[in-house]
Amino acid sequence: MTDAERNRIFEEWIEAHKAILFKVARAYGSTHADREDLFQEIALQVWHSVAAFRGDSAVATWIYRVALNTALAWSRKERKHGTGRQDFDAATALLVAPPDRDPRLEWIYRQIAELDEVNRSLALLMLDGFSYRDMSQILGLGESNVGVRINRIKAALTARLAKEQTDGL
Amino acid sequence: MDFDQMMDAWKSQDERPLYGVNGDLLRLVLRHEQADIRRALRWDQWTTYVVGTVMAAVAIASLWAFLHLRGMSVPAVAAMSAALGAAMLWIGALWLSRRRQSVREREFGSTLQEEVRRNLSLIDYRLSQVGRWSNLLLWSAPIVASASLIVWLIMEINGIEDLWLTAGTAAFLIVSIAATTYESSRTARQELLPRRQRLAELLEMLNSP
Repeated sequence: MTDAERNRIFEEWIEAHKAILFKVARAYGSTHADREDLFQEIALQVWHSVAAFRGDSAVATWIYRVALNTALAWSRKERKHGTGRQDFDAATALLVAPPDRDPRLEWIYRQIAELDEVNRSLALLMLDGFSYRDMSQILGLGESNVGVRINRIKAALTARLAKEQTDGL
Repeated sequence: MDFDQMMDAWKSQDERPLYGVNGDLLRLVLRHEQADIRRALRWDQWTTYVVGTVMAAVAIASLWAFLHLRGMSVPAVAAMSAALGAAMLWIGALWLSRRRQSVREREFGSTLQEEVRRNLSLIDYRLSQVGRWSNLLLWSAPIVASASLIVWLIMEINGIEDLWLTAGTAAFLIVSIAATTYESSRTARQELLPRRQRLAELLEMLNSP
């Protein structure tokens, strides 16, 4: 596969599935700088993975797998903030945040951030409607294990939602 | 907000993404990444195979020239052949070791759990090579032997027979090489062991009910 072909496929994937990268970066990065670094790292890994994609799964599933692998392996000590951006102003941002934020989404991400790293992955996949089978294949866990964890996550979210009713969300 | 409303809020991200992306900046980052990969590959090939082989070849050629000037004999030819054979074996062992590790890494699947196992395998491999100073010394032995041989040849050619100078030079070489190797190995362990610990914890989290 030539570089041009890889870049073309990568740009198509990012255009169609950039929401996946945003969600994972938002869930695993605690500050905006961390999210930028993690987004950049995930994008790089997705780019690397283009040549290895054989079409055995949907592109969204593949990208989720790469993104979650990257997020779990990512460490703040390996921050690359600014790496590869020598030709741009140091303050140029890779991610541009919208002026208004949905408080409901902020609440959801706060709850996700309280989960451990593995359950955080499951929460993201559950919210995006993946089947237990898909989750099992992405994470390498047994389906029953996935089911038990998902039920716990749902129960915890439902309990917190009930508690937050008075906040007017 | 109830559970269904929460799911609706979540799905709204697909229509209204959380962020915008600076496309030009992302493309630039990728170009730098491609350049970095090519540079790292060239560096790896250059230092591991070319420099090591050239150093071993220069040492062997120097020894051959020295012995030829003094008159080659059967034991000298045997010593030369042994040195050449050892150098070839070293190159072969290094190549085989890396190839086996590549094959081992390809056997892992692409799930998250398998990816963690693959990374663990890679770290264990690096620890086996550089994590113990005795192993690091073994892998750098041909370069160490070549340096020692060149120093000895220089002293022989210049007719330096001072025992204390010879012993002092040898002691300096041994101590500096051992200290450098020990320090390199300690630094590598400091970097690799925490990463190994984190991966092991991740694997345990994945395997726990």
